[in-house]
Amino acid sequence: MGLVDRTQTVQWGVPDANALAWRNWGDEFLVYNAASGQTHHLNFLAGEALRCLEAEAADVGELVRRLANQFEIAEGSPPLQMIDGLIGELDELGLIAPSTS
Amino acid sequence: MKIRDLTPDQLYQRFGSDGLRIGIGPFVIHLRSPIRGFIADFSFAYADFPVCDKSEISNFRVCVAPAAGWRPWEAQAEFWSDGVSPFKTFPQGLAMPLTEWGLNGCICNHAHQFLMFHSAVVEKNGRAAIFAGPPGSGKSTLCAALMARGWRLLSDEFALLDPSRGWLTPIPRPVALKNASIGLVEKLLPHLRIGRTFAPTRKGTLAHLRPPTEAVERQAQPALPGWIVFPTHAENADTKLIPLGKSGSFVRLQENCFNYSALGRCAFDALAELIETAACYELPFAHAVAAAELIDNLAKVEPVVGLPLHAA
Repeated sequence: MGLVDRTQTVQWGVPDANALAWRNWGDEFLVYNAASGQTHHLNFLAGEALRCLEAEAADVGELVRRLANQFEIAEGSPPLQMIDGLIGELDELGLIAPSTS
Repeated sequence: MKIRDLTPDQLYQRFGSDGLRIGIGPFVIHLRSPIRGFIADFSFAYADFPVCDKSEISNFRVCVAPAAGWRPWEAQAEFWSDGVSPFKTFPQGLAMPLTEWGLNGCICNHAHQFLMFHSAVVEKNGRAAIFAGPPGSGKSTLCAALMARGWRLLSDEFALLDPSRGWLTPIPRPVALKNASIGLVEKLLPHLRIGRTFAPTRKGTLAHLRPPTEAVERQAQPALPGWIVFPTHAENADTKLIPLGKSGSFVRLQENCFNYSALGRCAFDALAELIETAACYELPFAHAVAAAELIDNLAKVEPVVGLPLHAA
């Protein structure tokens, strides 16, 4: 997973095998990944980004656009500048992968 | 019939031959041992537990047997469960605490019909308080302090959560008291009996509080979770209840869970429902009596929230 090119053109999605289960309390998320058996504690941005990719695969640019639209903030605002790094972390946790569809 | 109904000779004869089947919480333990001192200790602590019929299927078959040791001046024993001996041999005089730890291992390794937490659990008016934390955090002492205020003992060691019903199944085994808590609990619960002290053990000086008769008689009655409390005992602590967020409580309780990984998605759902149902607190405390008063007050003022749909 660490060798995957995380450039803007890669489409990221949640593999079907992950069959994520969710709980949301306030601005925090817990997500269970059936493929790894791991439970992850995510902050608001990470949770919303993962939910977005679970709904439909996207590249980094598209994900930023969707989140900006959802939260009604500018695409260049500070939280959305972290999306590239966030994608890397979600990838390393096995929660997302380059989409093949 | 209860264990207390048998005479010492009858106990020795039955434990030493076919063994006794004993109903402990949701389990039937088939225990055999020819060691008189151990039989006396065990029968004292488990006096009120029911002796089951021979036709009952046992969950665990346990034998505490004399062992050949390299210390001929001190008789040795070994613990066996279904053909497996998890410990090295130990002095026969310590057979009771070693058997308790062995039984913990049996439950922990096999009872995956439950989501199991390392916790003490007490109940009042149908709602249970779960005290979760590592050894030394004060779970047993708090538990005893609440028993002194009329709370029912569900367990000193395990919270057994039924994942499909969302309730807590009692397993009111003897309360393991360590070091200074032995004297404190003697004062808090003068009407209850504490067995002889064992020392030295790997946990220091240890003694077992015989569970109240009522707790054993009601061991088939589950309770709904009301509160999850993470206690930490420190001499200079400012005793107070600090409300905790749900996500953080989930993660902390998961760390106290014995079989979270084994149950997978089922564990995630059951733990999430438990966290949604219960109010969660951190409880630093210096004195168990003051801490118990805070918990007791919670039970008076907090309404029941989010009962599991299929539990009522």
